[in-house]
Amino acid sequence: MLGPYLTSKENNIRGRGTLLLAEILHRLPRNKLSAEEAGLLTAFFCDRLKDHHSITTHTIYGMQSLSICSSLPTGDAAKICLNLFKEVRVQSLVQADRQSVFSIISNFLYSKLDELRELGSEFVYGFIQVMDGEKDPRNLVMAFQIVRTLIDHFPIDIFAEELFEVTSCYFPIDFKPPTNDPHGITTELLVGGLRGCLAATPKFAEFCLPLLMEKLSSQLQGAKIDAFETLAACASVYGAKHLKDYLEAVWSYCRKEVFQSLSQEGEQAALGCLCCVVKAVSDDRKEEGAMFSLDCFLDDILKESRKHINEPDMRFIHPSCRLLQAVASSSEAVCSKILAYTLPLLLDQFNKHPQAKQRQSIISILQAFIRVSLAFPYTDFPNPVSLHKDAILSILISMLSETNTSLKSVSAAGLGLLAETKGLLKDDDVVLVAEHMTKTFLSEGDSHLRQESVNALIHIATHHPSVTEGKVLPALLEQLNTEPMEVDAEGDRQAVSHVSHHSILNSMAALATQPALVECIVDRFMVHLQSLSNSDTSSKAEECVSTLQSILTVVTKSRTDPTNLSFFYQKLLPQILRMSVMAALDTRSEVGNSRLLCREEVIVLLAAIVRNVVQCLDLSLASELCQQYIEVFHRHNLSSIMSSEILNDDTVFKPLEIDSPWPQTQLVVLLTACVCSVRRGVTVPDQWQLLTSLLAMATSSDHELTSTTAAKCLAGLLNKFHAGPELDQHIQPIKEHLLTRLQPSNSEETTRQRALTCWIWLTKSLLLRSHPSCNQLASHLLALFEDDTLGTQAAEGLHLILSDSNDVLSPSSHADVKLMYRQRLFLQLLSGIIDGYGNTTSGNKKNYLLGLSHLLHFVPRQVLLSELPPLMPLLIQSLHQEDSALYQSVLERLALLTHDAPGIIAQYVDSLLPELLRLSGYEASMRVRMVALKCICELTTLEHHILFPHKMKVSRSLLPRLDDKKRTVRKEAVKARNSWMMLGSPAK
Amino acid sequence: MRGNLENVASLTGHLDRVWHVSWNPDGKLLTSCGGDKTIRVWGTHSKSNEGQGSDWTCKAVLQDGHSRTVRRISWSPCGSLLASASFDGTTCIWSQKNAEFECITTLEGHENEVKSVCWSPSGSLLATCSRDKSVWIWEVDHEDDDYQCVGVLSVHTQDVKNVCWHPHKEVLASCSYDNTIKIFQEEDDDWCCVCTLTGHEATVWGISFDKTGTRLASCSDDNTVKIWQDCNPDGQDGGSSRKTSWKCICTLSGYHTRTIYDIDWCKHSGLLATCSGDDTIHVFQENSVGSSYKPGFSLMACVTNAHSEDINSIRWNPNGDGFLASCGDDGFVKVWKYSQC
Amino acid sequence: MEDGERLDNVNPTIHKRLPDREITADDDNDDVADKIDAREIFDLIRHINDPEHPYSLEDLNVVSHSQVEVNDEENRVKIMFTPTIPHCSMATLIGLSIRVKLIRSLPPRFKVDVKITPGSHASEEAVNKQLADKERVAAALENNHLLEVVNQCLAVS
Repeated sequence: MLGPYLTSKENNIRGRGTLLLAEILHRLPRNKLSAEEAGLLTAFFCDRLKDHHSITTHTIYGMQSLSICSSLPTGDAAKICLNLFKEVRVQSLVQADRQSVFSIISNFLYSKLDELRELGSEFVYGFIQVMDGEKDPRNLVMAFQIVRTLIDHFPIDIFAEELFEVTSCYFPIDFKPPTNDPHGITTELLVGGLRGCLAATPKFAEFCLPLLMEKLSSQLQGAKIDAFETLAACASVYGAKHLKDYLEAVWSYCRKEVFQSLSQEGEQAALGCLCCVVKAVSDDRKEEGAMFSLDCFLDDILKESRKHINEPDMRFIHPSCRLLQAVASSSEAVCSKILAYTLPLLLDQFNKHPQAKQRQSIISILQAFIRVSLAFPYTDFPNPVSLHKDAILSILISMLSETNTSLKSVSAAGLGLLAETKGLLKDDDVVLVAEHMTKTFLSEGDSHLRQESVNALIHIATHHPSVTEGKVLPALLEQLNTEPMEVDAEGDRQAVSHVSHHSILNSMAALATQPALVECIVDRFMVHLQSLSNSDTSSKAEECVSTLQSILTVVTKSRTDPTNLSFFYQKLLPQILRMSVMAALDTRSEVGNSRLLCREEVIVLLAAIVRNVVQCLDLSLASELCQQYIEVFHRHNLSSIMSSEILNDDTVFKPLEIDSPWPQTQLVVLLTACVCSVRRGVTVPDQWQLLTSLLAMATSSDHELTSTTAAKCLAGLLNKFHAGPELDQHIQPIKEHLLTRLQPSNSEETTRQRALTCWIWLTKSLLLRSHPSCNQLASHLLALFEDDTLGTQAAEGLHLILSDSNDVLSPSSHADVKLMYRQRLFLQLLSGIIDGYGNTTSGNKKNYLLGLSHLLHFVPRQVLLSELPPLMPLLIQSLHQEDSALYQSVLERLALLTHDAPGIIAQYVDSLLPELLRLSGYEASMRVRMVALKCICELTTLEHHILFPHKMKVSRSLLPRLDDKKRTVRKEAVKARNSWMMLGSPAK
Repeated sequence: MRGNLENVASLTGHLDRVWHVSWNPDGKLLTSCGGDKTIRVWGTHSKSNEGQGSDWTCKAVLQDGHSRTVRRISWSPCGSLLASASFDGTTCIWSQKNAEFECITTLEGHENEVKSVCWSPSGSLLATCSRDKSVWIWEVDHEDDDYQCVGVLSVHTQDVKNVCWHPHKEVLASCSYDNTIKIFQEEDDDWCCVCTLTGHEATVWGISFDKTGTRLASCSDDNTVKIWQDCNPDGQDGGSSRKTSWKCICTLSGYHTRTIYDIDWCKHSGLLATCSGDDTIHVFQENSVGSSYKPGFSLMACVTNAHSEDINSIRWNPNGDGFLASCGDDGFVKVWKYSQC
Repeated sequence: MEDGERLDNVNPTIHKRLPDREITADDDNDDVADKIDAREIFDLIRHINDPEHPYSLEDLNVVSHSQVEVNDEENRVKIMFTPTIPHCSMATLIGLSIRVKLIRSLPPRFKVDVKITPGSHASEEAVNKQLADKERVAAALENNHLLEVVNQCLAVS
């Protein structure tokens, strides 16, 4: 049908005919054409290439559709490529057509590789012609990939130099993408692509190395760093044969870069390159000359470095040792040779320099060398450090008694490194180090030094747990039981340390690295906790909390290890349950007793420990535990945790009843930690009775912790309950129960507030699992914005719903959290908030704005950006409301929006700036002043022409803020004013 | 202290520090210039200025005369011309046509910032000075508004800060960053430096003749004021063999704690007003008892925190009614009333 | 050591940085007024970039906490700075950058003196005199090229 058009005399008609054909082909599915049709089209298009040049673009476009057609007969791919190479001077085409040629070739290489391989070097030569002279980054990215495939799959020997020339002419790449670059071609993409080609085959070595050497001496820092990194990438591929003659040259360039220390990246690149080159030479066994030239090279650099190390003023000891360390980290053999040579030099320099500062530098250099030696297994060579172990050990230990703290901390770090090296220290060495480190930790005042000694003790605990258990822990515990200096008034029992109990507990927690240690440390913590609660003086409360925090750290750190987990399950959890219940029961008599274990911060920590363990329990253990907890809490049967004889008859433990004393009811925190953290498969026994008592507690218990936790527990359970009619049946009564209590008429304020809290947690629970009734719950919450007493609490409720809570309804507690729940709530409530704001009384306006600012705070960027325009007027309005909490959350959001949505914010600069300047002087709250100043500073990222008219006024009105009475506010004011005064300067 | 300085007006409008204030010859208009590259003309409504005259308003703002800070302005004795010196290296001559000011000429020649400009009492000469260490004397032909440079005096070794004409004779004084003051006179129609006054230990910022012209007061970065006496006042004009020689006859120190930026010797009351970087204004009077070669000065009035930042210029109202104008880094122009109590 | 570029001071020794200032309880208490102290002024100038090296004035020990004197009541600030070498040609520029940073960051009530540490620079008086002359500083800052060089030193990397 198209025949005549394709053969007509007129060039443009033929052209349009070909284009029409190509367009059709592009729209066909890949396997539509039959083999003959495809073959016919190939012949047709190949022939068209010889036609008038105006047709060529359409022909290429047509061929591109064929390049992805699966039914192309064999041989056609090769035919098309050859014709392209022969007939078309690709580099004379426009960029889009060149890009099509490249995509045709890469498609065929991808689908018809073997067919093209037959063409062998003819294909390679053809492609070199196509690529030669290419400038466009988009095409270059594809070209580099194609070169890479050619190197891997084609015989390139005869054309190796040409292929190298056509690729390496782009080195080093200094392409800077235009600011709003639509194609997204980054410099890294190009550099990576090019480097991939250069480092693809040793065949390029003889051409590439001279080029790299020349670039290494370039004055341009960027080019030099690129050369270093490219050489590092090529080293392992090129191998010793090519590299061994370049060792000295590479060394001198690296030395120049490190000695001049112009920039950090430059030095890193040089050292990395040096290490790779040496590694390539030393690893290459089959190159016989390599060993010899490597040894000579190492001897030379060691001789040269010796000069710097022995220099009295030690001016270049640091850079030259950094170079040696880079070389030493190349291979085990090189490392042994270098360390064996340098360690004695350093030790002898140590004795020559008595001053603390020089000794400190030498020890830090020693440390660096030891850290390098750590990297190797030392199967065939002895660890070079071991030959000098005793000398180093004695030096480091002797330094501990010096006065200079930084010298002592660098020595402590050294000892830690020795302990970390496997098989280096013998047992009595370890004990010696452990004793010294414990003494340093307990007696030293400087916190950095103490931290270094703890790090050393941690290494010892990981490699030599028995020493820790035998030597370190007893010393720490003994210290724990004596009063620290500041509390201990009377002089006689002079406690040697002035380190606080808190840091002792922390360090013990840090030592719990092995299961054996975990067990004994947690046991000791529990014994300590028991003794604290027995002494029961309120001054011990703080220490009680830090003990529990240490237990929590150990549990969270080591709960994944099965042995630890079972220890926690068997021993720790029952102990916690027993202690808490005993404490709750014990206070039956005096209500307001200040028993340590009944304090809120203690109970919450105990619950956190339980939660972290339960989260890891498998189904069976978890249900077993739930069984026990329900038995104790709901069925009041304490037999499982207490032997009967201490249970006298009048012990009544009914924690889930409202009228029970608060120390009992608050234990619902523990119950929640168990039942709400189990995996979703676990069924909690007597769930419905539990829910009813929880609901009652949530709405009528006047003990704040009890009522809120009950509400959370209810929410946690409902969130995991398996979906179905049964769940819906039970949600309905709960809703009605809460609705009646929420009515303003028949219940007093505190009941309504508690009902609202429960309502909010219920909403969150159902929203997370996207249960249908959550919409009704949310819209009722929105309606409550109008309520005079509950309005603000309802608005704050949105924050509670949207923010992550760590005790219940969190992913780690296996809650059912569907994706995008925040977007759903945002989109559901947004229009309601905007309309509600429009026609509410002025008093309630701030509830809507508060709710809005919470929504804005949590909703992801994209969703917000699409909804932002109508919200902006509201946000600016909210800056007039007399409410600092509202100011703060709106301003925080505005600061982010300036970064995320500059276009939109830019339209409101004129109305925003006066508000921000006013709020930057808001007397009532420094937080508001700070965040307002942050916004003003953030505005300077907008387009300059928008800001220039305001520059003078802003820098003048910020002057008084420089004299704000709060230092942190002044700091923000300085940042803001400086960036406004820098407007227009390229340095900004 | 027996005098009192009362603030009668605080004029805002300048967007940056104000460097200099200057009254027009009849004392009815006050002009100020500063870092915002503008000159502002202030006036009062009430006809007679003996009254409170506190209702000052800005009559005109001269915007586009200069491309950089305007450092100094000086009224011609006839009161119809205003000269302005600027950091852009030029000096503009503005003429006042029915309350509208228009720049009629721009004098160029200095290599960089022009620091001061001053009309000679006869109005026929104009002096400018600059950081390029030179003082230029211009001859003015009022008919065809033609300004001819008749003298380029590169005698100072550093940035020349200020120039000031003798009240009666064609004698010019200049002070500089090189800590010296120089006196210039025309001898056989060639301007030359006839005397150099050394003594200040730091940059000399301001100079002012007394009403007779035989004495000169100077203020400096060394926080002192020095009074100099011309020991050969009746030396004939031109060609006299004996050079005029000025001697420092009195030094006032301990009054200011930071650089004194300007000084003005009232041609009516003989009162000496100084302003400084310590935000204060001081007024001194010569003790009647001291000898003419060993005068004593006593502090009559002092206002601390007259401005909230450095004060750059202080000028008595030429009509002798005791009004005083000041300006400072805080962007304010203030008018004070001095009264003897 | 081969041919390093023509830097005045080729291999500067790098000074250890002061740890950042901890926020105390009083800092967050809106009723407690915080006086401007030497540490706050030092924090303003420590990050100024040296015109020659990719290091800050604190790294090169040009400025240090001990060389900053402040009297908040009497609105006085005095800063001493030590050029890295006695004939450093950048001393005036460094002094100017310090002065400009403080002009932009301190309340105008402060009288600021920026001086070279006595005996640490060949032309100490001349540089001090120039830095003290606010008229010359103002004129210098109206010169766009020089302002740009100062802005480079003050740019927050």
